[in-house]
Amino acid sequence: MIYLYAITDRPEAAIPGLPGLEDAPLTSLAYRDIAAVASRGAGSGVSTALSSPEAVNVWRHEAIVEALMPDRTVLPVRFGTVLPDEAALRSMLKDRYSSFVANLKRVCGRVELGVQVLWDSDSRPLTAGRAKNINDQRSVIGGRAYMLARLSEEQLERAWRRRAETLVIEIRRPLEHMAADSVCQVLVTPRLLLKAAYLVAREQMKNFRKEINNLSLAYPELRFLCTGPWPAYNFVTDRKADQSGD
Amino acid sequence: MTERTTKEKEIVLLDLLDRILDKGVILWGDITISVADVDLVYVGLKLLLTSIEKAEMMRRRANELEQADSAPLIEREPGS
Amino acid sequence: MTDIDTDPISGDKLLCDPGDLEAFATELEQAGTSLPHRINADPEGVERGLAKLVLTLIELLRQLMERQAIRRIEGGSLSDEEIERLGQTFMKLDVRMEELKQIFGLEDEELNLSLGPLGNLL
Repeated sequence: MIYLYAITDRPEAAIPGLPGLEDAPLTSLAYRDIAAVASRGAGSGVSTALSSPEAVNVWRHEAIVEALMPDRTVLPVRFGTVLPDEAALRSMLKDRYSSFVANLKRVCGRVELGVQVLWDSDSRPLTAGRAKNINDQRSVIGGRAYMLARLSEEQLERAWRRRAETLVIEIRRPLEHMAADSVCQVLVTPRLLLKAAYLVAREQMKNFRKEINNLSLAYPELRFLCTGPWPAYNFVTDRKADQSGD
Repeated sequence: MTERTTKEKEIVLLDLLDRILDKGVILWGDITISVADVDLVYVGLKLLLTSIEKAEMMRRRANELEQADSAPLIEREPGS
Repeated sequence: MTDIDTDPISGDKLLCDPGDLEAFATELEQAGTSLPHRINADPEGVERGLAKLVLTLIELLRQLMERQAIRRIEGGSLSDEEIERLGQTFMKLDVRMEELKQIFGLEDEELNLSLGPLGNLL
């Protein structure tokens, strides 16, 4: 069983002296001008380390990925990714070679920054789908009254959503200006206005942070959380690279 | 290095988990069983949602065409 | 704030402190990003897991139908009797859902499914 941590360029670069999961040593398998950084797992069944993504294992995986980043380009692999043996790993590298190369090119010299924005919890209409008082009155109100109440709930909800989206457009503009790529979700929860990730050149990080500070001053009713730098987790899921016809 | 509070560490961990468990390079079919179960459900539901949206779109289009009273109605595909 | 540009990777990950970390921690947890839901292997768990799945899908359909009906009311394409009948049906459906949730001991928040990158179903 082989645990996978990352796909990198510069296969000749030295392996960091960090322990892998289950304290196994790290190894690297090269294929042409890319490499896979992995470690051997004990036994052939599903390992305990995999079935329990506890903080300690997750941080270990992350530490390995980040230790690789200073001197090579890194595609971080999802936690818990395993292959049966080296042959399978080699075969996977061969099959996905062009996709990996395209992704390595895309994230080279760049890091991922996470941004989350909270807005006022009172801003959501009191409804959240169904008003309590409507349900309580169910036995006495008629079908039409119910539907009309639902209609007005929906309209409030829609207006609320539109406000969120307008706000998000304003916030995203200066941030996307500095990023090579971005992903975002609006209203993942009613209070979490925006959850986003930005692929930013390392040298741009300072400016990005400055912009976040500017935004938090410009929008005192919002609260901004910015984390990173992270390996480009959000920008290596094969979507564009495979479609680019390389 | 500044001292980080428990709350700050918790947030950073949550942020990391969101990335490391949910994103990054994946190898379909090689993920552990429990995660694969979720993937199956996910694929099935995504298809369900897409078909409902598609049906909505076609119905709306059909209504528009009927009202415009110009172009012929959308032909039903055989067997649909 | 620490200067992380000299040690960009292994340094501190919190780039911008919003002040109210508690609120963020709550929301990030709710955003359900940690672990996907699993259907348990034990017999009782299986039944409950399946009930959760089925009820979630029913709830999805109920919401879709209700929204559809609301749109048609807005569009003015329904008669008063139709609106009355729809309202009665949805109210009954709602009562039924409450009963089923009680039978299986499921809370409102439990009726949800993680669709990976699409977020949650409901």
